[in-house]
Amino acid sequence: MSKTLDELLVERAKRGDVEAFEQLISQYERKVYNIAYRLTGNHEDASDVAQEAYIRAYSSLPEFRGDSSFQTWLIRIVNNACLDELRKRRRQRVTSLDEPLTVDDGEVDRQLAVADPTDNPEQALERVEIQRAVQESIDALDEEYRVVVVMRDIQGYSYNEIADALGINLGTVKSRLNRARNALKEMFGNLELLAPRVVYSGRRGRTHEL
Amino acid sequence: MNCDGIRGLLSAYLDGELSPGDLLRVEQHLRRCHWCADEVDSLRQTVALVASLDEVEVPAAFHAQLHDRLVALGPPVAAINRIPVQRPRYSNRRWAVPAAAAAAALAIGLTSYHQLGGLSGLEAQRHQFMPSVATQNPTPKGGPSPINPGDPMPTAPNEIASKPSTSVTSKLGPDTSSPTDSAPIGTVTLDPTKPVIVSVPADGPKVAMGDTKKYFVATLSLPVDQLETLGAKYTIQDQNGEPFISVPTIQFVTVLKQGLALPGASQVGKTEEKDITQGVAQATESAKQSKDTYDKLLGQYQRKSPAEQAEMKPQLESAKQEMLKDQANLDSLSKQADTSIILLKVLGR
Repeated sequence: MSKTLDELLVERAKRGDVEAFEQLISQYERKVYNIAYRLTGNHEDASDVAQEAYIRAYSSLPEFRGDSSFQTWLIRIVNNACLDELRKRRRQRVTSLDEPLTVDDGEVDRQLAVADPTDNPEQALERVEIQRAVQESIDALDEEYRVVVVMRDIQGYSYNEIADALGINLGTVKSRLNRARNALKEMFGNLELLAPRVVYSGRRGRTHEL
Repeated sequence: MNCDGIRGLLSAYLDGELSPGDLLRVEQHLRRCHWCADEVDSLRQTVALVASLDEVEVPAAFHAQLHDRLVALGPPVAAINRIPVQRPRYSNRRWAVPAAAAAAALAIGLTSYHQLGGLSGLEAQRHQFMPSVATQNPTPKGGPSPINPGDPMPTAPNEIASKPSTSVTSKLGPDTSSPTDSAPIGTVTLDPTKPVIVSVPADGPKVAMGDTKKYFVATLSLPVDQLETLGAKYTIQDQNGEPFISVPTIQFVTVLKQGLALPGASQVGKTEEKDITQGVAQATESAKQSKDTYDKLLGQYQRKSPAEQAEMKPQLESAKQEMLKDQANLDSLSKQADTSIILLKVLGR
């Protein structure tokens, strides 16, 4: 039976071939790093977490039996490493959306970053600021919720894949994702990131979409 | 269905992850409820905002850093198998197969227990190791007593029993419930973070490796549960006396002088041999060099004035440390080679 490239690389990596391992993970490194980045919210922590995840994966290679694809297995380890790290950090430092945003050139009040509410939201917030606000909102979620949002809405994993990677059941994925998105929706609403739907108010208070 | 029943489904609705029944209910509801339709719209925007986040680049220094850490780790060796919390005792029937397999394998006698420090810089526990080729044919005619455990050495069970740390209780031979009972010949206390040294007696089986004097380091890696194929039985506990959930891999690291054989070892685990002859030669050479350096410096030192001596002292001291280190390294290697010590290294958690 012929082996896939991944299988061959896994075999070599298991024997301590670091280059084989690096080749193996290079296919997934952007994905892995982006998961770490979106879960931690900054490059420094993302680098730490992603490296920790790779170290963990490398050390656990003998446990990898090929029951799932290498990618699934790796993502599971990355997510667990991220979750562990986030939990560790949460014990050290609790942040909430009420705290001021910290930006590179100092602190700004969260409201200032969101701009004057009388302005047109699209004009008021530059793309980079929107991105920062979105990331900050994601950061404000509990890690269990954060991870499902990142995996689904940024990485595009299916519910099944998320359930598999996190070791939770499908129903839990659904309910966590639902709660996470609703929490984000509230935050985005408060930050005026959501455009109101244009509706026409008819007689007796009935509304119709235009 | 009212709005409350619908709201919880809207997120999955966006992803097309609803069952056909739920999908129908949601679609019907959305046609007449603008609040929920608004909700869907807001959720859709929320998802779009999250999805709009740009992909970030992996920092330039990331790979080099990771590479260094991976190289420093060494080969991955921590194989962990799930085992039942308490290993079941073997029935006669179950035992028959491993016993037969063990007949062709090697017997381990894990006996005399005492501390042995300093070997390879690793604190270790020493046990006697008695590889012996079993005489029984794999298809036994007589009762299952395939393994000669050798001298059932006086063990030190009290010492072990008084240490409720990670322990592997190892027995040789069939289960005590089997017809040919054999007493446990040893209990080994294993700390998964430290190697256990099992020494091979000088009269152990040997295989001629030719005339050249060579030293070999052989490693035999096998999961602990493979120990039963060797005729050993065990339970593993952690430092608190709780059963281990994971079985660490046991790695035998042997330093074989003149090619001491591990009969049957290759049948139960992967063995690797490494010629360390050159390593021994190098260690001898560097020990000699650092001693020469130190002697020379000491000679200079003794001829100097007290003021100069004070200045020279750190240099002399560092040369001395270097010499002691090299000597210790050589001693350790030679000791391993001379006594054909086998390190029973437990890896894993």
